[in-house]
Amino acid sequence: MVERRGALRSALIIAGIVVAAALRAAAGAPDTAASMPAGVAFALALLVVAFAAGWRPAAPRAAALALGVGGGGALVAAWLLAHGAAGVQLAPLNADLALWTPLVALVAVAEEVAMRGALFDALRSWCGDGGALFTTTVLFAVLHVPLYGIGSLPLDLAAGLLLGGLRIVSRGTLAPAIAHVIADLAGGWLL
Amino acid sequence: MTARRGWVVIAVSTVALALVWRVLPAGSPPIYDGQCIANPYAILGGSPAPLSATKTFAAAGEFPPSEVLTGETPPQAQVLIEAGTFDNSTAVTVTITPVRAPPSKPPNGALEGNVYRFSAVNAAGTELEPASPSLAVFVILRGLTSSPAPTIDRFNGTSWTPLSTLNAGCGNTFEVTSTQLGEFAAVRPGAAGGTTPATSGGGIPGVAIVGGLVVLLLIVVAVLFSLDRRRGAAR
Repeated sequence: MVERRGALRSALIIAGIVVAAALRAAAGAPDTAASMPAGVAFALALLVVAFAAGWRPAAPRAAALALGVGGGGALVAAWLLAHGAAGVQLAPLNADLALWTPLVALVAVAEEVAMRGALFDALRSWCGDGGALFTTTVLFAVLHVPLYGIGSLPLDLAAGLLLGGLRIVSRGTLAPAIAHVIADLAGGWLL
Repeated sequence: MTARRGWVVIAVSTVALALVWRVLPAGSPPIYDGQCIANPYAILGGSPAPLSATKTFAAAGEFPPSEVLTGETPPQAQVLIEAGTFDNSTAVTVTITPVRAPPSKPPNGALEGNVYRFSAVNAAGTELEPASPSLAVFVILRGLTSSPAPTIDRFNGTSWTPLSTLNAGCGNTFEVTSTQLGEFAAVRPGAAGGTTPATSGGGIPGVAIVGGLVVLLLIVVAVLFSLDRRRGAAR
């Protein structure tokens, strides 16, 4: 009975995440990745799904914070090591970047709350940490394909696995959320 | 799963990340995700005008892995070049220029946005091409929309040839690999001939689809709330 409820809850959360992604695609067409209103709608939809599923924020812990910063550093360092850090510069601050930064942080946090928060908890109660890690990693990568193309799949699988590892070690959502925010912001702040 | 196994997952994924970044084309941006900043497409003859790009590489033993890109956000045209692609015994200048569309029409649809000429010349002004077919260049162009997804075609001076095109993400950008430089353009699939005018993009098409998805989301949320309440009552 408990297993069946866990499966149903997991399926519903996955459905909610998929509907939120479809909503983003439909509302943001023709250029979904660039539509800020669609990004906000996506983030809010994910947060509502997570809240409805019973996810609640826990008190932040310094260890999780440090782990998140380390994870974000690893995500950025992997790129820097492969392509050389010598030519990398900080982007000049402008209105676009000032608006983009909080929005990207909101979307990243919402993705973590829904996937490695509510969904991870539901899956873990049903099929353990291994099943939760596998499902959230694959879902995370597949959801980004419509936005960034099939070429993004290996990168998002590896990034999703790292974020899942952070979730398991820290036993919370704060560490993967911080790492995710750092990696995404690097996409705009580093040239 | 124990925290120790979690650390193993972190270690494995860090190695995987490093490997994935190694095999991605040179010059790939450090983007995992995030909202994309995309200004309106600049069409040739309009205002603001589309930008050109030029980069000169000093003579060296081997041509360096590099990228050349126009200055819009995101770049409307860019080329990623692998190490050794061009003979770099003299200086090499790589140029991207928006040009007028040739009279010849693509066989697979209508031109979408600008035609860009990609060229590389040595110090003597001789046009260069990749030194071997295995050293293809990655040409990335911005289209006007992702739906339907455009194809990138190459113009050889006489006719257009569609190339295998991949979605490159932010701002309706699409990517092809080509063993030759030349003129490239995004082509919207459909009736051949003509040029699709630039549109401002954005907007919310299909209000009914959006409404339907919102209703679906509300149903999922309501059932989840109800399950959570029952779970709370059972505790």
